[in-house]
Amino acid sequence: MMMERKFVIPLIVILPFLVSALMICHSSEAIASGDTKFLGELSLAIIILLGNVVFQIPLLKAIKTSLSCRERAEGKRRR
Amino acid sequence: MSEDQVSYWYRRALHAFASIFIAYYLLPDHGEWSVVKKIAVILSISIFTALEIYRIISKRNLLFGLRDYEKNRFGSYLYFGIGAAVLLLLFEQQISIPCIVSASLIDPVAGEMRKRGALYAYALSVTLSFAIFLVVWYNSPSPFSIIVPLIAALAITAGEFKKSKLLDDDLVMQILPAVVIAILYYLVMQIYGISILPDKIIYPIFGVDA
Repeated sequence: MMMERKFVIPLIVILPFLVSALMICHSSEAIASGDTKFLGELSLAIIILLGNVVFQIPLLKAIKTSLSCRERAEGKRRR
Repeated sequence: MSEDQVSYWYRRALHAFASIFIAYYLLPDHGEWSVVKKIAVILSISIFTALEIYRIISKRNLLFGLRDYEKNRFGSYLYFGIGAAVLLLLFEQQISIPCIVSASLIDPVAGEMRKRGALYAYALSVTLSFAIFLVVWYNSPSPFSIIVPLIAALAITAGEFKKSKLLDDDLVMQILPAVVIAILYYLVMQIYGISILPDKIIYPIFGVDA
């Protein structure tokens, strides 16, 4: 579990942003210069970004809740 | 309870994360790049297959988020990886991209919608996958720009909701629509002599365009 917390979860959160940002920059540059064949790439990048954000928010909330539960439990044990 | 919630949303987020596999097409498709990226796909699948075989043989719980029924068989993530690898290596990007993106996003969305009723889940699954396929196939020759997304959306929904013990839905959801579209492509090519494939959707970010 610790390995996932340290390495996999940050990757799951950061990589989709990076890839979508790359695709958005790549396609919008071409669209700005009048090349409409990149519209599909731009749409896909937005779909990927939204699709990932929708599931990342509850994941981050669940991690936050889990951490605060653990801190509370440790606090009680110390007292 | 909160750890269960983390595990639950971790699985959902991991599923959606798989949509970035299409970044494969941002890499150049010529010269040594073409070989390197294919080897990277095969190597990744081999490493994860070896890891899964070790996990099953050693009976050690190496991975977070696995379901109980996955403890003695390959994890669903590996089936998804195998499906995506087959699509990336063997199919045209106009077929593989919408199949990978749809399968990665539809499965968790349909899973959430199932709580409100199967009908909602079916409807949303068909609508979303139709929209994703339409983004890629809109400039295909008429009427295939509508027919292909419709057939693919129905195939993806069938793959998602028709559960099989032999094949994981993560694999079926990707391969079934791809095979159906490939058959349609070859049939139309043989009968009418026209290609129904639309233009490429993703072009390499650097290097010569393939």
